[in-house]
Amino acid sequence: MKMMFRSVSLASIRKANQNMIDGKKSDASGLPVSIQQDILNRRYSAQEINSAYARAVSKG
Amino acid sequence: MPELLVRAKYSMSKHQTFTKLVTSDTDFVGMVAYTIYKNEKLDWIGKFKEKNQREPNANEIEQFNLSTDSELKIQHFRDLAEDRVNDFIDSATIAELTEYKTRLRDDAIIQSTNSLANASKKGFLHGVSENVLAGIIGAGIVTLFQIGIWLYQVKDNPEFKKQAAEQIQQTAN
Repeated sequence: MKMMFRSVSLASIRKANQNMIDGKKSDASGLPVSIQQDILNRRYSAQEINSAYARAVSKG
Repeated sequence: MPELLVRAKYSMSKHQTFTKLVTSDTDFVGMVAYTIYKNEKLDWIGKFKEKNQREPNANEIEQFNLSTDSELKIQHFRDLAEDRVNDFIDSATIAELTEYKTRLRDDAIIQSTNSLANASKKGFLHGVSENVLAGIIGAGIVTLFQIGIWLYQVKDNPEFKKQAAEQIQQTAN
Protein backbone atom coordinates (compact mmCIF):
# COMPACT_ATOMS: atom_id res chain seq x y z
CA MET A 1 0.00 0.00 0.00
CA LYS A 2 1.43 3.37 -1.02
CA MET A 3 1.63 5.79 1.88
CA MET A 4 0.94 9.51 1.48
CA PHE A 5 2.83 12.29 3.26
CA ARG A 6 0.32 14.40 5.16
CA SER A 7 1.81 15.59 8.44
CA VAL A 8 4.66 15.00 10.82
CA SER A 9 4.10 11.89 12.91
CA LEU A 10 4.55 11.67 16.66
CA ALA A 11 7.47 9.28 16.13
CA SER A 12 9.34 11.89 14.08
CA ILE A 13 8.59 14.57 16.69
CA ARG A 14 9.95 12.31 19.42
CA LYS A 15 13.05 11.59 17.35
CA ALA A 16 13.57 15.31 16.74
CA ASN A 17 13.10 16.01 20.45
CA GLN A 18 15.68 13.37 21.36
CA ASN A 19 18.09 14.88 18.84
CA MET A 20 17.58 18.29 20.47
CA ILE A 21 18.19 16.81 23.95
CA ASP A 22 21.33 15.03 22.73
CA GLY A 23 22.47 18.15 20.87
CA LYS A 24 22.69 16.17 17.64
CA LYS A 25 21.89 17.34 14.13
CA SER A 26 19.50 15.19 12.12
CA ASP A 27 21.11 13.13 9.40
CA ALA A 28 19.62 14.38 6.15
CA SER A 29 22.18 12.64 3.93
CA GLY A 30 19.58 10.09 2.83
CA LEU A 31 17.44 12.82 1.29
CA PRO A 32 17.98 14.44 -2.13
CA VAL A 33 20.32 17.45 -1.97
CA SER A 34 17.64 19.84 -3.24
CA ILE A 35 15.31 18.80 -0.41
CA GLN A 36 18.12 19.13 2.16
CA GLN A 37 18.71 22.67 0.93
CA ASP A 38 14.98 23.48 0.95
CA ILE A 39 14.73 22.37 4.57
CA LEU A 40 17.84 24.19 5.75
CA ASN A 41 17.07 27.40 3.84
CA ARG A 42 13.49 27.60 5.07
CA ARG A 43 13.37 29.61 8.29
CA TYR A 44 10.05 30.22 10.05
CA SER A 45 9.48 33.57 11.67
CA ALA A 46 8.19 33.88 15.21
CA GLN A 47 4.87 35.02 13.76
CA GLU A 48 4.58 31.91 11.57
CA ILE A 49 5.49 29.63 14.49
CA ASN A 50 3.02 31.33 16.82
CA SER A 51 0.25 31.21 14.20
CA ALA A 52 0.85 27.48 13.70
CA TYR A 53 0.78 26.98 17.47
CA ALA A 54 -2.45 28.96 17.75
CA ARG A 55 -4.06 26.83 15.01
CA ALA A 56 -2.93 23.63 16.77
CA VAL A 57 -4.28 24.85 20.11
CA SER A 58 -7.62 25.92 18.62
CA LYS A 59 -8.04 22.46 16.99
CA GLY A 60 -7.79 20.98 20.48
CA MET B 1 -5.10 30.85 30.06
CA PRO B 2 -3.32 27.62 31.00
CA GLU B 3 -2.80 27.18 34.74
CA LEU B 4 0.95 26.87 34.31
CA LEU B 5 1.16 30.29 32.68
CA VAL B 6 -1.02 31.86 35.38
CA ARG B 7 1.21 30.43 38.11
CA ALA B 8 4.35 31.51 36.28
CA LYS B 9 2.99 35.02 35.88
CA TYR B 10 2.06 35.13 39.56
CA SER B 11 5.45 33.87 40.74
CA MET B 12 7.26 36.31 38.47
CA SER B 13 5.20 39.26 39.58
CA LYS B 14 8.24 40.97 41.13
CA HIS B 15 9.84 41.41 37.74
CA GLN B 16 8.50 41.61 34.23
CA THR B 17 10.64 39.04 32.44
CA PHE B 18 7.81 36.59 31.87
CA THR B 19 5.34 39.15 30.59
CA LYS B 20 8.04 40.68 28.40
CA LEU B 21 8.97 37.32 26.91
CA VAL B 22 5.52 35.75 26.63
CA THR B 23 3.21 38.31 25.08
CA SER B 24 0.12 36.09 24.70
CA ASP B 25 -1.26 32.61 25.35
CA THR B 26 -0.30 31.60 21.82
CA ASP B 27 3.20 33.12 21.91
CA PHE B 28 5.00 29.80 21.54
CA VAL B 29 8.35 31.39 20.72
CA GLY B 30 7.99 33.51 23.88
CA MET B 31 7.36 30.39 25.96
CA VAL B 32 10.50 28.76 24.58
CA ALA B 33 12.38 32.03 25.17
CA TYR B 34 11.22 32.04 28.78
CA THR B 35 12.48 28.47 29.18
CA ILE B 36 15.87 29.55 27.83
CA TYR B 37 15.86 32.53 30.22
CA LYS B 38 14.91 30.26 33.13
CA ASN B 39 17.66 27.82 32.24
CA GLU B 40 20.14 30.68 32.16
CA LYS B 41 18.91 31.87 35.54
CA LEU B 42 19.28 28.41 37.11
CA ASP B 43 22.72 28.15 35.58
CA TRP B 44 23.63 31.54 37.08
CA ILE B 45 22.36 30.47 40.53
CA GLY B 46 24.36 27.25 40.30
CA LYS B 47 27.54 29.12 39.43
CA PHE B 48 26.85 31.67 42.18
CA LYS B 49 26.49 28.89 44.78
CA GLU B 50 29.65 27.22 43.55
CA LYS B 51 31.61 30.44 43.78
CA ASN B 52 30.19 31.84 47.04
CA GLN B 53 29.22 28.62 48.85
CA ARG B 54 25.77 30.03 49.59
CA GLU B 55 22.40 30.76 47.99
CA PRO B 56 22.05 34.18 46.35
CA ASN B 57 19.86 36.56 48.35
CA ALA B 58 16.86 38.48 46.99
CA ASN B 59 18.95 41.54 46.08
CA GLU B 60 21.47 39.46 44.14
CA ILE B 61 18.71 37.65 42.24
CA GLU B 62 17.14 41.03 41.53
CA GLN B 63 20.47 42.15 40.02
CA PHE B 64 20.38 39.13 37.74
CA ASN B 65 16.77 39.91 36.81
CA LEU B 66 17.67 43.49 35.94
CA SER B 67 20.50 42.30 33.72
CA THR B 68 18.20 39.93 31.83
CA ASP B 69 15.19 42.22 31.75
CA SER B 70 16.56 44.67 29.19
CA GLU B 71 14.99 44.96 25.74
CA LEU B 72 18.23 43.78 24.16
CA LYS B 73 18.37 40.69 26.35
CA ILE B 74 14.66 39.95 25.81
CA GLN B 75 15.18 40.13 22.05
CA HIS B 76 18.25 37.90 22.41
CA PHE B 77 16.16 35.24 24.21
CA ARG B 78 13.43 35.48 21.58
CA ASP B 79 15.93 35.18 18.70
CA LEU B 80 17.52 32.19 20.39
CA ALA B 81 14.08 30.61 20.87
CA GLU B 82 13.20 31.20 17.22
CA ASP B 83 16.43 29.46 16.18
CA ARG B 84 15.76 26.53 18.53
CA VAL B 85 12.20 26.08 17.21
CA ASN B 86 13.48 26.20 13.64
CA ASP B 87 16.14 23.61 14.52
CA PHE B 88 13.39 21.43 15.97
CA ILE B 89 11.21 21.87 12.86
CA ASP B 90 14.18 20.97 10.63
CA SER B 91 14.94 17.91 12.71
CA ALA B 92 11.31 16.73 12.73
CA THR B 93 10.94 17.36 8.98
CA ILE B 94 14.14 15.45 8.18
CA ALA B 95 13.07 12.55 10.43
CA GLU B 96 9.63 12.44 8.82
CA LEU B 97 10.91 12.64 5.23
CA THR B 98 13.57 9.99 5.90
CA GLU B 99 10.88 7.73 7.36
CA TYR B 100 8.61 8.53 4.41
CA LYS B 101 11.39 7.63 1.96
CA THR B 102 11.95 4.33 3.79
CA ARG B 103 8.23 3.55 3.61
CA LEU B 104 8.19 4.31 -0.14
CA ARG B 105 11.27 2.09 -0.65
CA ASP B 106 9.68 -0.76 1.33
CA ASP B 107 6.48 -0.30 -0.66
CA ALA B 108 8.44 -0.55 -3.93
CA ILE B 109 10.25 -3.69 -2.71
CA ILE B 110 6.95 -5.34 -1.75
CA GLN B 111 5.44 -4.46 -5.14
CA SER B 112 8.47 -5.86 -6.98
CA THR B 113 8.37 -9.05 -4.91
CA ASN B 114 4.66 -9.47 -5.61
CA SER B 115 5.23 -8.91 -9.34
CA LEU B 116 7.99 -11.54 -9.39
CA ALA B 117 5.79 -13.98 -7.47
CA ASN B 118 2.91 -13.43 -9.94
CA ALA B 119 5.23 -13.88 -12.92
CA SER B 120 6.58 -17.11 -11.43
CA LYS B 121 3.04 -18.40 -10.79
CA LYS B 122 1.96 -17.59 -14.39
CA GLY B 123 5.07 -19.35 -15.78
CA PHE B 124 4.27 -22.54 -13.88
CA LEU B 125 0.67 -22.71 -15.16
CA HIS B 126 1.86 -21.92 -18.66
CA GLY B 127 4.38 -24.81 -18.48
CA VAL B 128 1.75 -27.24 -17.22
CA SER B 129 -0.69 -26.34 -20.03
CA GLU B 130 2.09 -26.72 -22.64
CA ASN B 131 2.98 -30.16 -21.32
CA VAL B 132 -0.68 -31.29 -21.30
CA LEU B 133 -1.14 -30.12 -24.92
CA ALA B 134 2.06 -31.87 -26.01
CA GLY B 135 0.82 -35.08 -24.32
CA ILE B 136 -2.53 -34.92 -26.14
CA ILE B 137 -0.82 -34.34 -29.54
CA GLY B 138 1.64 -37.17 -28.87
CA ALA B 139 -1.15 -39.57 -27.90
CA GLY B 140 -3.08 -38.62 -31.10
CA ILE B 141 -0.03 -39.31 -33.31
CA VAL B 142 0.55 -42.72 -31.67
CA THR B 143 -3.14 -43.63 -32.07
CA LEU B 144 -3.16 -42.67 -35.79
CA PHE B 145 0.05 -44.65 -36.31
CA GLN B 146 -1.50 -47.73 -34.67
CA ILE B 147 -4.69 -47.43 -36.78
CA GLY B 148 -2.53 -47.22 -39.94
CA ILE B 149 -0.61 -50.36 -38.98
CA TRP B 150 -3.85 -52.19 -38.21
CA LEU B 151 -5.41 -51.17 -41.56
CA TYR B 152 -2.24 -52.24 -43.37
CA GLN B 153 -2.38 -55.63 -41.65
CA VAL B 154 -6.05 -56.34 -42.41
CA LYS B 155 -6.30 -54.99 -45.98
CA ASP B 156 -5.21 -58.34 -47.57
CA ASN B 157 -7.25 -60.50 -45.15
CA PRO B 158 -10.01 -62.32 -47.23
CA GLU B 159 -12.34 -62.52 -44.24
CA PHE B 160 -12.04 -58.79 -43.72
CA LYS B 161 -12.58 -58.14 -47.47
CA LYS B 162 -15.72 -60.32 -47.41
CA GLN B 163 -17.09 -58.58 -44.31
CA ALA B 164 -16.32 -55.20 -45.82
CA ALA B 165 -18.02 -56.06 -49.11
CA GLU B 166 -21.10 -57.31 -47.24
CA GLN B 167 -21.21 -54.17 -45.15
CA ILE B 168 -20.95 -51.97 -48.24
CA GLN B 169 -23.67 -53.96 -50.00
CA GLN B 170 -25.93 -53.73 -46.94
CA THR B 171 -25.43 -50.02 -46.74
CA ALA B 172 -26.12 -49.59 -50.46
CA ASN B 173 -29.41 -51.52 -50.18
